[in-house]
Amino acid sequence: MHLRPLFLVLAFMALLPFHAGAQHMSLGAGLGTDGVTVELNTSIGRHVHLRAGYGKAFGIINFKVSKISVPLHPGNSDWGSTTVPLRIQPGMNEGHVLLNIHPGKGPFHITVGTYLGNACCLSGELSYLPTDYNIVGIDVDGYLVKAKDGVLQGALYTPGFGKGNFAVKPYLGIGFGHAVRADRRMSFSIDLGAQYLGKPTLWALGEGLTGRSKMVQIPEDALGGLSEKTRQFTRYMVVWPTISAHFYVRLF
Amino acid sequence: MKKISLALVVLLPLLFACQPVNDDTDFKDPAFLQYCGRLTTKSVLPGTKASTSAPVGTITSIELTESGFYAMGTVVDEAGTVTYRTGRYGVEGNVYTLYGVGTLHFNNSASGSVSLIFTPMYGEPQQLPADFLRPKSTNKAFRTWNVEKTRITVKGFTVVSADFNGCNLAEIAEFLRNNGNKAPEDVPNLSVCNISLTGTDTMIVGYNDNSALLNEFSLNGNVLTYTWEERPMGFTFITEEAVITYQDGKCLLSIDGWIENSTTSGSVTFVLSPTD
Repeated sequence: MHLRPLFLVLAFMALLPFHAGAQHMSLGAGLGTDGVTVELNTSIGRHVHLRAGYGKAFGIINFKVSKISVPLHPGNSDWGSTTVPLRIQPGMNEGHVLLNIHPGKGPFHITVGTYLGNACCLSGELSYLPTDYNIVGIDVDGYLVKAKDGVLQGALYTPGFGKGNFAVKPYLGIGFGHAVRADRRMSFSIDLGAQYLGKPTLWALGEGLTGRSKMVQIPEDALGGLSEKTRQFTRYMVVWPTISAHFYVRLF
Repeated sequence: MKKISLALVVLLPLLFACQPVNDDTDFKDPAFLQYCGRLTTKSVLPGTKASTSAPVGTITSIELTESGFYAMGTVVDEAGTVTYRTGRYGVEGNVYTLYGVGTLHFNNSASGSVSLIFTPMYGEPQQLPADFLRPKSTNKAFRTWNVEKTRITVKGFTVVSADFNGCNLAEIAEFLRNNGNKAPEDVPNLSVCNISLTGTDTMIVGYNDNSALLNEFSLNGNVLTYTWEERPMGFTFITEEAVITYQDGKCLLSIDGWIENSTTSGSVTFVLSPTD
């Protein structure tokens, strides 16, 4: 788990009450394509709400692609090919800092801000791979990426303006509702927007020579035909559509 | 709430503190540092070939490693071919016991000419004039290392890698063939068990049948320059250079190589652990 960004956002959340105009504060929970989220919110003046939170995908949503063609032997195409199932699920695990700007007195708002944390956007799992995949793999900077018990796990990282496995993904969207209401204890909000993903890259868990393991970035052409399929799939992944609904309770 | 906020602000820098990196490793001194060296009998010159006058059975040299391993060279045919046998040795004063072979008796206090008495396990003592060479230098690489794991990366039809426990030559040859690369079919079921680097600039590659290959090397920083022709495997390491790094209590010896008469090239990384 990527704890540092989480603690950073939590620290930011904890600092919210210190700002001069913090008259009200609410705690919220949400569900959407950015995962299951918790938020701490405060009002800044009459038209701006500051939201700081954390979201994680818990694997509730996943889908299966039944026919992915792979060589029978990872290093030898002469052996022919076989099809194996691929299961994909959202893999986000990140914090966010967002500003809801209400142009008028009503619930309509424009949201700007950023998501930051683990760059994992989607995680995938190829299963029922031939036994040679448990032995043969690819070496990435001294880390061997190969299947374990016929299962090869990988992840699509989308760093936005971040780097490596740390993402900084700007967000722009619109919404309807209030994160904090002075006149009501509870409030509700629906948001629709997009996160900028940056260039997607493929990552997988590699095993080091001395027993260490870590996520490593798979070079673009290391997977032969699979590399081209990945490129085709990720070509249009420029933004992540973010639809979410939140329920808030005012703390004070 | 304010107390929690302050605590988080104080803790924040700790969250971004450096993580410990263990890319360097210190090892304890080898157990036989004061007894090691090379004995060269005066009937032959150093090298892989004995003088043509040396009869079959002549002992040419005995390497005594810093970790208590020996490699004894013996002339095995009329052409003067020398093969090496390895094993462990023990020392008591000036008497060395080469397990499985016999004993050596000589003055091991300094480099120079010595009067060597070799007593085979089943035979009479032989007196052999010899030169004894103490190690020229010490280095934490200079010891005998167990081959724990071998990672092979092959750049032929495609680029693939695999890890093997130990280093079995037949197993690796099968891996190469399965990946569409040329590798000899008749590779013997031999394993590289240990690799010794000595302070007398000798690299000893020890096999599980107690045979060994000996080569000279030089170490410049972490680059090892050497010669090693792995004949049973059909491997020749073209760069004749290996890079030594240390990580997590292991020594990593990485070599680029290629298979003779093929387009297959690749790299071999041995994961080595100290034997003592």
